Amino acid sequence: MFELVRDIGWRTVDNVYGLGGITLFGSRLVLETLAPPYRLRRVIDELFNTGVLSLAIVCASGTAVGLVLGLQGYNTLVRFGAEQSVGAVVGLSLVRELGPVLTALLVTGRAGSAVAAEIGAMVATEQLDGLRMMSVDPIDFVTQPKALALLISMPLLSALFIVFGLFGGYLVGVGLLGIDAGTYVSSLENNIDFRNDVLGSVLKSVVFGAIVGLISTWRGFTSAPNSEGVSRATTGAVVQASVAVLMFDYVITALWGVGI
Amino acid sequence: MPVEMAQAGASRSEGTPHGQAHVDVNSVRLAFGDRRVFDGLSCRFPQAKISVILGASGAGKSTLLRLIAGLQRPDYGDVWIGQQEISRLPERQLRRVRKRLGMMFQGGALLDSMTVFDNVALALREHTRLSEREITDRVHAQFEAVGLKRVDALLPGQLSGGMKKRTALARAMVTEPEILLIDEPFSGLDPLAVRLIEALLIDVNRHKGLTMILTNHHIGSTMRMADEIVFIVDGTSISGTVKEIKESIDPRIQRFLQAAGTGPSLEEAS
Repeated sequence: MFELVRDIGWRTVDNVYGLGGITLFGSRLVLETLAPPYRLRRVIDELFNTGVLSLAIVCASGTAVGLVLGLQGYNTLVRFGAEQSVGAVVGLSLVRELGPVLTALLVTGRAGSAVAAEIGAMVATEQLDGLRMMSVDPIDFVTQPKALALLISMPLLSALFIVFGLFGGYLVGVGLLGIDAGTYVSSLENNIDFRNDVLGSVLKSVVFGAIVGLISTWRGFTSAPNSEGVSRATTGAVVQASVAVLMFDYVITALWGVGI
Repeated sequence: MPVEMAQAGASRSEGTPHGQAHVDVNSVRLAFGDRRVFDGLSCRFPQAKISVILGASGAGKSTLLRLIAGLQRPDYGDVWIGQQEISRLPERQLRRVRKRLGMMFQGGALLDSMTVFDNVALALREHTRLSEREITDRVHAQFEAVGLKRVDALLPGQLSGGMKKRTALARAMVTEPEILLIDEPFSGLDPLAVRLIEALLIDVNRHKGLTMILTNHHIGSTMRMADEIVFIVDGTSISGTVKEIKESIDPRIQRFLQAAGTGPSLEEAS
């Protein structure tokens, strides 16, 4: 019993300590982003790694999700004689929810894990210490461009995911199930509201970008300097970022729904 | 002069057999979990001389270098670089102190994603207003000094172990630091490369007056290069010149040197 209480106590202290650590780390990232020197070249390089290299997986997944949504939407709506609204169902599902959330999960798995592993490997091979010895701040030089690139690329990838999803829904609805193309598009246009739907989607993807960037860089930066540490950092980054994305999704949806 | 056991609590102002201390480690205690690495370690490293840290594997040689570099903070005690105590400085101020230091890590610690040239040029680009042409000249001069040719565009992953070490040495020296910290410069090198790096370090020390602190397992090169040896044993240190260490009757030193085939037998020494 005593051991259980002690264990819970230590875990609590550890978690509070970790929460404090990630908050300070996040503040440092913001400060380094705002203060010179601005490492534009490094941010562009990281945009390529996190954004451009995620394009294929995001486009393919977006199309697949759109195809399924079109099919499932039609099969459900046809029972109520409302199959003309497939465009609206596909569009609203993608814009409000699936676009930002699935993109965040995909980017976490592809780019977030890579960021955590790369920084973790740099810790293990003393590359960050090497930078410190050259009086170069590793948070500024290594982690800040990666986190910023994830923040910038997330809304862009999310938009791309939504566009390919809409295209997938169009392929099924119009190409396969015979819905009129004009009906599909007008249903989409009439039911998606810019403020409620599109802005909410953009806000979500920006927040998710910040979450994935922060957690991935933090886990890599604080990993133990050995191969097990790198492995733990990578797994931890994916798991924690994914859970955080899903939890924040609920929070943002709830707040946005009450008109904030 | 007999070999002295460094006393805990010694003053920073004390010198060494070779003059005023440039780096002064004072009464340092450090433990990683249950494992105590240093237990009141005190040692001083003279200015403009080559000091070699000797000791068994796991004795804490690299950790001592990290303490001097400010990469590791002691649990107790202090570390002086010149007149500045660094063990409690915040990271921002440490960055200023580190501009006076250069460090070559055992594995090189070169940035994987950057070319060899960019690795060496990085500190110059970050901290000086030199033109790209001047930076190129300085970097190439360092490459020539360490015996590297046509490596500018290569990535660290394309270099051999010896070339990595030389690149790391070039990177540590390119900013012309006052103090050069070198972790195991000869491990994994062939005898010719050992002699080349050895000659280079001696040359830099003599001509530029750098304070050099090395960790080394290579006893032969230690005896040839060192002005001062700091022997780490049981969490404390024993310092002396090469002659003093060789003639030491301390059985722990004798065992170490005999194993390396350089020391007198215990009977001869006593």
